[in-house]
Amino acid sequence: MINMLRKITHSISYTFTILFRKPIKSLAVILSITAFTVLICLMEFTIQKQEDLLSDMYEQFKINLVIMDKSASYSEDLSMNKKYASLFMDKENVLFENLSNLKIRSKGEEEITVTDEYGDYITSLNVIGLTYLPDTSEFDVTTEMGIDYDNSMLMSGRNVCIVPNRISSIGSYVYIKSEKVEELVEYLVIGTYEQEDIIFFCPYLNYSELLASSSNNIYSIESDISNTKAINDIEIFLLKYFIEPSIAGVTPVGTNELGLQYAFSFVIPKGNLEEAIDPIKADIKKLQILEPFVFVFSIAIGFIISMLSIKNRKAEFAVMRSIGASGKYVFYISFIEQAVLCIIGASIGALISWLSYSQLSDQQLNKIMIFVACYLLGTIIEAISIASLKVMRIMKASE
Amino acid sequence: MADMAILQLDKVSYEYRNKHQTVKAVNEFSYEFNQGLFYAITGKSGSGKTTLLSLMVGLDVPTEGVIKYEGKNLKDMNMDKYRREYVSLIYQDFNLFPLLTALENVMYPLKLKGQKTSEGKLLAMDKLKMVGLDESYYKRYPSMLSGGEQQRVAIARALVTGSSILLADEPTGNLDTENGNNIVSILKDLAHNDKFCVIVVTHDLEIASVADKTLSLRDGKLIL
Repeated sequence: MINMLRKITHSISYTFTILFRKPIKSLAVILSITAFTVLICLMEFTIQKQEDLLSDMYEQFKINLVIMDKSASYSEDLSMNKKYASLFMDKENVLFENLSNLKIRSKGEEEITVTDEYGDYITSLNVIGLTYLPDTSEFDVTTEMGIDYDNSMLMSGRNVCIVPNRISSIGSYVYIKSEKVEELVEYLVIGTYEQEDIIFFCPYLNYSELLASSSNNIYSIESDISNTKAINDIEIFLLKYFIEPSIAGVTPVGTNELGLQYAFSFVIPKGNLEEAIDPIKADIKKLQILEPFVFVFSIAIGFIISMLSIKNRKAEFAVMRSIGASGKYVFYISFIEQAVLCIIGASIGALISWLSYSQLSDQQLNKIMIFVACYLLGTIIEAISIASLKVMRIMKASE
Repeated sequence: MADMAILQLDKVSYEYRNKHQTVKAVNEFSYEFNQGLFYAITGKSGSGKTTLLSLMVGLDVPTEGVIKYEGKNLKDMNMDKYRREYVSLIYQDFNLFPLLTALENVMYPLKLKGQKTSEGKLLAMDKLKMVGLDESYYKRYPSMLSGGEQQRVAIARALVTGSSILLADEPTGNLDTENGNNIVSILKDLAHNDKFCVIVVTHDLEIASVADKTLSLRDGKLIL
């Protein structure tokens, strides 16, 4: 056992002795691995950067589909038929696939009564139906969601709600009565907010189906575009129901099928959007084509470096074998040496990348791991061949 | 009763296939080697000398015949242990580890055996002294030594394991006459004074002339 430990210590100390006594070679291998690691990260980072830029562009060029009754102010006293909300939530329509962050806000004059399970009065609240999580900037509330729930529940028609935390806690139930619903209705609390407010937030669909006394209850619809290519189709579709506003604040003349003046607007002219986004998309496409080649190239070079590093020292390993080193020992010596170089090189590369980009994505880390694994695979293949070599033939060949 | 031969080769043959044909590098070689003698195996290039050496040192296994160390068939022994403890090999090119000092080179086989560093160091220094290298050589790398000095370090490395068979493949091949003679004299002393079985493979007839026994090989066969 002690002998075995001494042998292991010896093989490790031999490895480090060799690495320190040929610093230039060791450094060259480490630097090559570092360079390839940085290159792999750089490719990933560049693509990520372009994708972020694209997202920023979408954000900047967000289409605020502010669909509203032009005879009313923006946020109050609007009455829009729920039919218009269904246009956006219908999978068959061009809007569904091509818009994102759909925000439908809906509010009526209703006041609901919140009770305990026995119907005893707790408080009265105003109802707002939403398809998204209420935030501070719009409603002056800071919402805390339960870990098992997310805001996608607000796209459903389920009996879920977000209420002030003084009334109930997340995961429990509240019971409500309204003008429209006389029976007690059970609502699951999926989120709460701390502010002293009197709003009962529930899914838009739930509100419009169950609680709203009027069918004209939407007060605005907003959405981002996720597919710029579809702008023309979206526009054509919207023109069937809404009116495109004219410039310089001139109120558009025209009515929709309900006889009301509804209008929609693209906040940013679509031409500019395409102009800004298309080159970025083209760059991303090019990088995405180039990236696998760079990755495979890096792996191949790493593989070759690892194999050559061992191959060049065939004679040395043959001498070891001739003085009694086992094949296993020679395998470990050559493997440990390359593993140390590879891990140091890859770690430095990862550190440089992290320092340069202030982050390392999972994808970058995965690719570094694959690179290291392939390097070590090359080492293992060569180490196995070295461990089983014909010693005398190598000795003679090297003379 | 005569001493048992330390190394016995009985009808040993070795065949290998190259691209075009099967080559019988060693052909029914039989001989008994004893301790305390200096043997020279001569023969032209391609006569099978090196193959024979690699069989004796346990780096290859005969395709036919038996090799016995102290009466035990090599096939039944652990070959790595055999090379670590019972037999040592010296090369024409010295084959020292270039990044280890002279002392570290000699200590290396002991570390393979798992011997304590402190003990190994004393033993290695003793063997270096035995081949005429004092402590001024201990920290020198092979590149800082002459050919003769490198071969002495190689011999010290071979001696340190405590093996009783010393095999040498053209040990003077890369040395000038004076250094060559010195190495031969060290090897002879090891055979005669320290009772090693020294087997030198060479085509240097001068070595053959000072050997206690000379064996000639032709086409892998022993010529008597």
